[in-house]
Amino acid sequence: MSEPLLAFFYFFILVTAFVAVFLEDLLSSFIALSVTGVLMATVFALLRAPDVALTQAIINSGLVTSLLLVAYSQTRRTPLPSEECPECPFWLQWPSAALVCTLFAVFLFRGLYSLACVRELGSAPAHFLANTLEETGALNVVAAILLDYRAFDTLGETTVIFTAVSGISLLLAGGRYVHSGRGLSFVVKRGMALLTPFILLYAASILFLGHLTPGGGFQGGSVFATVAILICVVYGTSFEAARISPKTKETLESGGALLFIVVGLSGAAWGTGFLANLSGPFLPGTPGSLFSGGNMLLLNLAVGLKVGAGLSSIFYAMIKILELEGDSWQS
Amino acid sequence: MIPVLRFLGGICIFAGVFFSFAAVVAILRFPDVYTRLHGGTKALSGGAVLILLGALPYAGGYPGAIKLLLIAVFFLISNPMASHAIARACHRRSLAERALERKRGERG
Amino acid sequence: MILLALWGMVISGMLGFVRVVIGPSAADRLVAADALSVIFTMVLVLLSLYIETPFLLDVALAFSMLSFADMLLMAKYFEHGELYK
Repeated sequence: MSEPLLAFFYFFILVTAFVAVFLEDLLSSFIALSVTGVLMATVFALLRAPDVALTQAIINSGLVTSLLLVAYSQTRRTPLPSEECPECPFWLQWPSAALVCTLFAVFLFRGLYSLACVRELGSAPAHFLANTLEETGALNVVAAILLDYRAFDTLGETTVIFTAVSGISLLLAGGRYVHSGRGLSFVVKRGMALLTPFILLYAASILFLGHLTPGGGFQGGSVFATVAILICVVYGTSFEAARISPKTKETLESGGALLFIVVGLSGAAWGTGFLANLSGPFLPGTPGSLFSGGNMLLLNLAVGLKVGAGLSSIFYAMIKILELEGDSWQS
Repeated sequence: MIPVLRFLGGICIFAGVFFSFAAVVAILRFPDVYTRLHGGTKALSGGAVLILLGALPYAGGYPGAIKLLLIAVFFLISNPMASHAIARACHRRSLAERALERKRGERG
Repeated sequence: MILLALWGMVISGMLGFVRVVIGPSAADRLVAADALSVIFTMVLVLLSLYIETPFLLDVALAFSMLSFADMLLMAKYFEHGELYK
């Protein structure tokens, strides 16, 4: 790992974030923010964390951009003349931003200095790195920690996503969908028809091989959600609603949550404990094959179903046209 | 055999880096959105494919080489499609014409 | 030698970012962001050769797919003003 390259990337990230805050148009800030996300994925890759780099690349490019654009397109662009927006005075903006950037730079470069020295692992990381293959049967240590050693935290995260989807669907329940079939041009439509099966196949491989290669349920589910959003964007809502109705998405999401809990309860029924893996009714298998790692395949599938269906449900709830009483809504 | 292939791969990688640099120069120096898009996309597609082909001797075995070829094929199909979408959006909304008019109006 | 190529691509990326800062309209910034995402995909590929970690090629493939999706989303927003038309 080359330290000057990492230091240059840190400096580049700080400059990009600084520019994203101070561009005058909000749309240009979104573009600069996506560049920041790209740079962060590269820094994670340089620090030899492929799981985190994959998650950052997928979430930043596919989902953050689409949700920010949908939120931006549904809001009023100029304030009403009767309201006043108190703003931070100009002489305070630049120095405070420079101060925050300098604080972050201090922490980042101290981290860079301590990465360059030789350091020893603590007791818990050393135990995980040494014993994961015997205790869980999976090759990917990150997936083993997420789905075996700390599987209850993963259940909490999926509950958080479930709550978010329920809250957004409840808040935006009074709107109607605009059925439109325009989409993008013919070239893009035919090109997407050629590419979509391969993107879906790659997303399934990220999902199902999560215990062997970097990836897992969350990353695979996010790529599925991005493909659903992309089909809506390229072909229009009437095409997408005819293929994958909102009812199907609800069923898939609830099915994912139910699968996770059933797998956990089967470990409890065996007598060992909730979400027990190899000490429960699951077999380790040969390390390196698809059916290995005990219940990690089922848990990956459950998390992937829930995340994919949940995130695309959020997108579909947000593109509704809200009809409010006595208000001229600019759509 | 292997050092010769690695040397040729190194030449391809440096040619690819040169083309990417040329694409960035095009994005910086050309006067209009359409010309910047044209110069950037064409040079960058060629440069990226050259880098990926030059990386083949360094990949170390068949799985890595197949992944590199997959990235190259996906890239050749998708990057021109994205540029087409951007150019059509700019043309439909006349974004470049408004910026040029603003510049001409400022100069008087 | 791959380190030299890496530095070359990163310097190109820095110069491309100048267009994101200057560009008078949002379309210029979008063109520069498109080029930057391609350049950093290539940086990821060269990094996987430099560090000798074959898993980063998976990250590069996923990132090329999703930056393509990102550009289509922004182009749709520029053309229609809404994402669902």
